[in-house]
Parts: sequence; C-alpha cells; structure tokens
Amino acid sequence: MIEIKDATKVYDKTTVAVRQINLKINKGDFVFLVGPSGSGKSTLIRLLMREERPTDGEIYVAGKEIGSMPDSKVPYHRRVVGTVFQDFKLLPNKTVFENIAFALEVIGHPRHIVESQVPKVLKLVGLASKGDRYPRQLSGGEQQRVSVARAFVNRPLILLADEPTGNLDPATSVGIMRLLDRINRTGTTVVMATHDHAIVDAMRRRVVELERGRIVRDDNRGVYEGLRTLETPAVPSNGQKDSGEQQITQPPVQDAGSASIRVESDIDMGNP
Amino acid sequence: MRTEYLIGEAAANLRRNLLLAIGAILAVFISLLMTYAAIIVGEITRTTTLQWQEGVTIIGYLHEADLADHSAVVQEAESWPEVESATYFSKAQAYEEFKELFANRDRWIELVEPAKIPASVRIVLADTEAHREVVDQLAREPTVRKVVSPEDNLNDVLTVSRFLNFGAILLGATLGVSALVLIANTVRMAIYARREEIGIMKLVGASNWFVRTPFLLEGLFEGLLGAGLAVAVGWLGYEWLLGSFDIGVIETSLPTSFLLSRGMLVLLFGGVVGVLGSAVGLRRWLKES
Repeated sequence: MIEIKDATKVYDKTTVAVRQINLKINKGDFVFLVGPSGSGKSTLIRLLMREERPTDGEIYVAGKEIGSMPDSKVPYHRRVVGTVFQDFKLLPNKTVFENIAFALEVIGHPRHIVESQVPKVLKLVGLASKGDRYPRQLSGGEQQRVSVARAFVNRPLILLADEPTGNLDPATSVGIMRLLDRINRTGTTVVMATHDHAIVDAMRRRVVELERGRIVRDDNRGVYEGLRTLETPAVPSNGQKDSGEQQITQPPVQDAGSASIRVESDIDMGNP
Repeated sequence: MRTEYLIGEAAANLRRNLLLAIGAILAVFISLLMTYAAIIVGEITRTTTLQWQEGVTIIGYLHEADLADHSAVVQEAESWPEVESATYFSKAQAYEEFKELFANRDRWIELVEPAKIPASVRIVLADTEAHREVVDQLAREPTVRKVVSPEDNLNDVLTVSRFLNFGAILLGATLGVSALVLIANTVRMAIYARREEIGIMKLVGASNWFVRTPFLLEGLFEGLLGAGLAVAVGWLGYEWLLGSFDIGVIETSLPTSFLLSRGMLVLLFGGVVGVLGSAVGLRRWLKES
C-alpha cells in the first residue's frame, strides 16, 4: 500500500527533516509514527499526502510514485488518502453535515451520494444527532470526530493522522482511537503520528520510531518507549558520526543506515 | 449541481468584496467606453470621408457671367484628362441645395437671397492624385472666382480625428491594464478571504480547476459587466448625440449592425480582460498543489 524508498526531505537546502527513510506499510496496517518533536514524523505524513515532494528517493502510494507526480495529478492522490490533524481544520461557517458533505461535493459527487453517505459516516463516528450543529457548538473530541468523518467519508484507502489526539484529554483521546481502530478494521490503512505514550502502549500496534529524521525502530506490536537503547544505537552504525546538526554531510547513497535494513526485515516477519 | 455550486461561489466572492468588485467593474467600464467611443468616432470619420471622396472633390465658384462663359469653363474642365466629370451647378440649383442643407434653420434661408449664391462647376476627379494640379489649373480660369477643395479641410479633420482616436485608444489601453490589475487584486482578496476553505478543498482532493473556476467566473463576470455597461452607455450616448446635433453635411448615422458587432467585440474583450485578470490573481496562490 505504501512503500518509501530512500526518501530524503531537505528544507531550505540545509535542514534535513527526514533522511533516507525506507518503510513499507501493507494494506490494512495500523502504524504509529513516534519520536520527539522535529524527528520527522510530520514531514513523513506531509510526504505521504504529497503536501511536500521528497528531495530524494521514491514514495509509492497505492501503486503510484507520488514524489514525481505532476501537481495536476495530486488531487486524485488526495482522494485515496484521508487526513486528520491536531487542529481539526473544520470550516466554522458550515454545519457538521455541511463540513462532511463539502469533502464529497468538491470532488464532484452528486447530491444523492452526499445525502446517503454523510448520515452513514456521522453514525459511524457517533454524531448522528449533531449534523446541524456548528463546530463551535461541539467539544474538541466531537470536532475531531467530525474531522475523522470528513477524512473517511469517501472511503480512502489510507488514513493519515498527524497528532489527532494532541489537543484532547486522555478520555476523549481513547474515543478517537476506538474510532480509528474501527476504521482500520474496515481495511483502511492507518498511519498516525503521535506523542501519546498511553495510546501507543494500550493499542499494541506496529510502532515506527523516528529520531533526527531516521527510522530507529520498527516493532510489530510495539510500545512507545522501545528497548532500542539496549539493542542498537540510535545512530546508524556506518561509521559516520551523526553530530546532531541537521546538515547534509555525505551524499545519501552511501548512507543506507542499519535502521532501514531492520525495518524491512521486521515487515517480512510481520506479514507471513 | 457542480455548475450551480461554482456560480454560487463566484457570486459569494463578489458579494463579500463588493467595493473592490465595483472598482474593478468601473475600471473595465471606463476603459472600454473609451475604446468603444473611439471605434464609433473613427467609423463616422471614415464613412464621411468616403462620401466626400466619392462625391464632388473640387468646387469652382464662378463669377457673374452669362451662361455661355460658364459652360465654356465646364467644357474646358471636362476636357482635362484627370477629370472624370465636370458638372455645372446653377444659382437656382445652389439655392435648392442650400435650402436642403439648412432645412431646419428657416431664418438663414430667409436671409439669403437666391441671387447672391454663386453658380459653380463641380469636378469629380478620375485621378485623385492629380488633385492639386486640377485645383491650380481651375484657379487660372478667368471665369472662376474661387476654388474650394473639401479635401483640404477633410485632411485636417482626418489628422485631428486620428490623433484623438490614438489618444483615446492609448488611454483606453492604460485603463485596460489598470482594470486587469484591479480584477487580479479582487480575486486575490477573494482567495485570501477563503484560504481556509481552499486549503480543505485541496486536502480532500478537489481538482485544481474546481478550485479555480469560481474565481475565474468572478473575473469573467466583472469584465463582462464593465464591458456591457460600456457598450450600453456608448451606444446610448451616440444615439443622444445623433439626436441633439443635426450636423447636416456630415453623415453621422451608422448601421445598427456595425454598432452591434463592435459592441460584441468590446464585450468579448471585457470577458478576456476579466479572465486574464483573475488568472493573474490566481497564479501565485494556486500554483502549488
């Protein structure tokens, strides 16, 4: 479903956000991207939705290489990828129903589809009775449910979530996670970047940890704090010292770190 | 539903930025009014000139003399190779023409005695290039009192009108550019006001054309409305001038088909300016996917 090959993203020619990431995510996977701020989680999400182009490397989503995809094709890519953000991104002057309907209307679905699909997805997220409310009349958790509903209403193959529980209290977060889990069970691949230890530990799903733009851990049924400090160093063991400065010092090709190799072997184990 | 939606969005953009939209429409209006007026005035001058050139080009007013002398001059003129025809125009005929030209000015007609109006010879040239020579030759004839060549005056009129036309078109073009910039600006403002919505549209995969079309429609509407006003005001203004000034000798009435076809052209131009303006406004904002 998703395959990232040696992807590197450099901002402003000096700041390396992700470097030489190799990652394979199968259809129906639920993957947490964890790591400290600035580790590259959000950049990875932005690369997957083609908000950014990789500086180097290839990214395949649903069989298409999106890094070199022309801008005119991007809308079609976005239709197979739903996105949820920390700040919900709802339109304040539209009702809950209209916010969700908007996502269908602007990609050209006729009215009868909108009228049949929106109530279904509202029911799925548990807001069947609140379609005529405005976002400001809802709690944060409810707003995030609307945002999930909007991302899911045209049945994307992949749901990308960037800190979806970042603005919510723990109890509300659990509700959102149940919802994402339910969506995942319909066969939708879910990739979620998060800081939330409790959630990651409770879900026991695949965990990909990033640090300074590299993948340092990929556990099939992982927890937030991995055991990597005991197993392997966070810094790739190819002899090049990672100074912590986010600078390109070497051409990327030689820099195929041990992390990426581990990633792929983990995937093979996880998918017999 | 999509069409309905797109037009609705364009209308909403206009309402939200009404003042700016009015500014843009007025700029298009003034710019195209100048152009339309220049086209009309240009056409009037052109047709008038043609009429003069097809008709009498040289008039020789004759001294009081008997008919024999007069016809001798006419025959003489007729014999010149550059002359196609030379016609005698008697006092009586001249008076009739005078009455016709000033039909609505009875006092003038009362004041003028038929006997005071001179007879003349009217020459149509075979070779318009030889105009000057014929004028000189005719002036040397003893019976000829004075040679008048409308072409001399016409050339002056033509020069002035060309100059004015050029000025009007230059001014119109300058205003046209400012109209384009104003439309680009209104579209930019409209995009800014809706940046959140556009962001979400792109997030959920709305095609670029779907995002752009309402803004292009907005520009198109502003351009067409300005152009429509220009054509309406230009046309009405022309009709009004035609009604209030009866400029006897100059043929000022233009065929409706001319006014209509040029009006359509102006409308088309307004639409193009509008779409172009909004395309300029869109360029920056929507280039990135």
